[in-house]
Amino acid sequence: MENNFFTLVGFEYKKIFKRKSTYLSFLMIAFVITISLFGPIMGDYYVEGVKGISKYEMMDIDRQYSRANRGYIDENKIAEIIMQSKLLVADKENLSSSNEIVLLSKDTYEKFALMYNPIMRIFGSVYAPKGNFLDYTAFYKLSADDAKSFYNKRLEKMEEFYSNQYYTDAEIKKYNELNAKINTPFYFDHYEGYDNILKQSSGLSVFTALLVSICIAPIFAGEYSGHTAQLILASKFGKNKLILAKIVSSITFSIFASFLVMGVTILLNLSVYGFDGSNVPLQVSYPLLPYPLTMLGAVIVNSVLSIMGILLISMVTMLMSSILKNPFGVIIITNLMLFAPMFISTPENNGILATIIRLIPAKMFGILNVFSDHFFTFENFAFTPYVFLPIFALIACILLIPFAYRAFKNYQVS
Amino acid sequence: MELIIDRITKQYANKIAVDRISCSLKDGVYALLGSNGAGKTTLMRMLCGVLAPTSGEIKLNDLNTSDEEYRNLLGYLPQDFGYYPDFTAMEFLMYISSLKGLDKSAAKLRSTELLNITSLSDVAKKKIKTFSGGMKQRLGIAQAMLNNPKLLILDEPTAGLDPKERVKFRNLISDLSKDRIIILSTHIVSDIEYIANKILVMKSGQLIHNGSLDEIIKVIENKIWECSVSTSEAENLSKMYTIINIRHEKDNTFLRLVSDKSPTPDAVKAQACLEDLYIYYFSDISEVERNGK
Repeated sequence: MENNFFTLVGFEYKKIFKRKSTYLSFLMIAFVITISLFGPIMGDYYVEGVKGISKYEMMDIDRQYSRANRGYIDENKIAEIIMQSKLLVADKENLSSSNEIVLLSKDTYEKFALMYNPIMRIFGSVYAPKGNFLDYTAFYKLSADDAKSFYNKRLEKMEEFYSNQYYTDAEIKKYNELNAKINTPFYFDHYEGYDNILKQSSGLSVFTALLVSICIAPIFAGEYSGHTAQLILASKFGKNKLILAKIVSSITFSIFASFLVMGVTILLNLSVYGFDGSNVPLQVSYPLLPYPLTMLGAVIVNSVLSIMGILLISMVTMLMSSILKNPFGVIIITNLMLFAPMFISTPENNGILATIIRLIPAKMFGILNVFSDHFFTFENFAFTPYVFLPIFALIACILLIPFAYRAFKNYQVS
Repeated sequence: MELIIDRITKQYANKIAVDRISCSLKDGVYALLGSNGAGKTTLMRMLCGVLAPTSGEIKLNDLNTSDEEYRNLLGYLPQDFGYYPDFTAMEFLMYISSLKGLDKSAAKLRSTELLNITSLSDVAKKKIKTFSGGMKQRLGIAQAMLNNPKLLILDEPTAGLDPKERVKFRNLISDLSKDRIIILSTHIVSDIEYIANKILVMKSGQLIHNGSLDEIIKVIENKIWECSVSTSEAENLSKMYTIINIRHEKDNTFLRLVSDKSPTPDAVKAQACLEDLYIYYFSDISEVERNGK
């Protein structure tokens, strides 16, 4: 009996992999991965309209300097960078203009600034003046003493950010708890591989969900439109084991496909941009985030959430497939579900509407959503998105399955 | 085996497709006869449990259509037989076998046997999308018989088969008819005459006759006439009687028609057959179909 079940699962996979649309979808995702991977290093940099070095060379230089700066970002390191920068700015020859805004000349930028560029990105958020959360030029106005206050400044900046009216007491309490778990001084290393993975995750997850939905859409609807439903439903296992086999196939296919895409993306990115930086804290890239995660941890958390979001979308697709009579209708609805939320902005107040919008599967993807500056709050409890959303997705998936099961079982051939 | 159909009804919004059909069927071959829209396919779907009746009950040896054991005893060839175009014939039969609960070795053996019986052995590894209509139909028949069903329901099984294949199919059904109930519908009256033990005649959703060929034909016994008349007289007779056959001869027109009494002084009585009965019952519907209304 069990053999029959796994044989049926095998046949469902056979159906999926006999469709041309499956191969076209995988081809589409391969194209998206390639573009995401090589996009940032294709072309050249232009400074003041003059063609500079290629983006690949820039990445390579960045990588070399990042590795040269490997170590803790402590007082001494920050002071060293501040002093170097002050010397640089003091010489008017190094500037492209003499106005208030510090703008380094092309030569100076390429000769000196690049060396500290990877590490200086953190300072733009922390040393920005009050009321401003990003100012890269503020750093040039600092004195060596400011190096001592870097981590306090970061906390002040976070307090300033979270003290606005949109954050509840429960959220602020949670922020403080999480923040206390972040180790300082931050460890720095070349982390671009992991950073790229995080930046690509939103788009890649949407396209992976699209791939999965195209492959899953005919799971039930294809039987209706192909007139095979009547053969299935009149057979011994057609109203029980086969439906379970279809559900198991949909779930496992979604997970395998997501794992494959995520795995390939991670491996390729790290191969091209560098495997180092796994133990760099997330704050080196996003200084004001309160999540105590390393870059590797962030990539894992983000991948798990992407997989759960994709799984939820595949379960919605499966439900639609059991209700609608045509796979194309299912794909259209899934597409709407994936792309329409892009035009819906989440209200900043974190109210009920904002919470509902953040629960839309397509809104679970990407660093802005996974490492959102808002938590999910219920009375006095606050949950981080990467804890709450996977649990929500799992429960939603479990709740959707019986509806799909019943819809196919009770299908009426007419 | 006993299949009991008890006041089975299927009603759509404003149409009764099957109207309170009751009968009891025991082992043998039953042919469902009726024009398009008579409710044959709807009845067969309900018998297969893929369409729920509005009211009434179907039982096979006390098993309901919703029972797994009922489906285990069932073989079904639907009218619009669906298949997976990219599957080979063997893959398709193996898939249906696993749906029917056959283990892998039994499935392989049975599939090979049925491919042989339906003359599809040579194309067992070819994709179904490359098959002709007749080959697909034979594959449909093969899949219905995979589990050696005790209740075999075949909706238009001979559609698309050439005369040689039809003869083979009829012989196959005759061989299978022992210890099982076979219900089939077809428009090819000669098939029914050869293989059916009993004929169920359906009209407008109702079962109007249920009996053997001889019993059913009694309805039109002594009502079939043949005559050879002039063309103008043939036109007049066509308006007055149900015409079964017209054949234009050198000077006259030959007519075979249904009439309670002799339509012309020269008309002679002919032996009634099932086709006569079909035309007798469904000529009005055929006329409507012919006029495309």
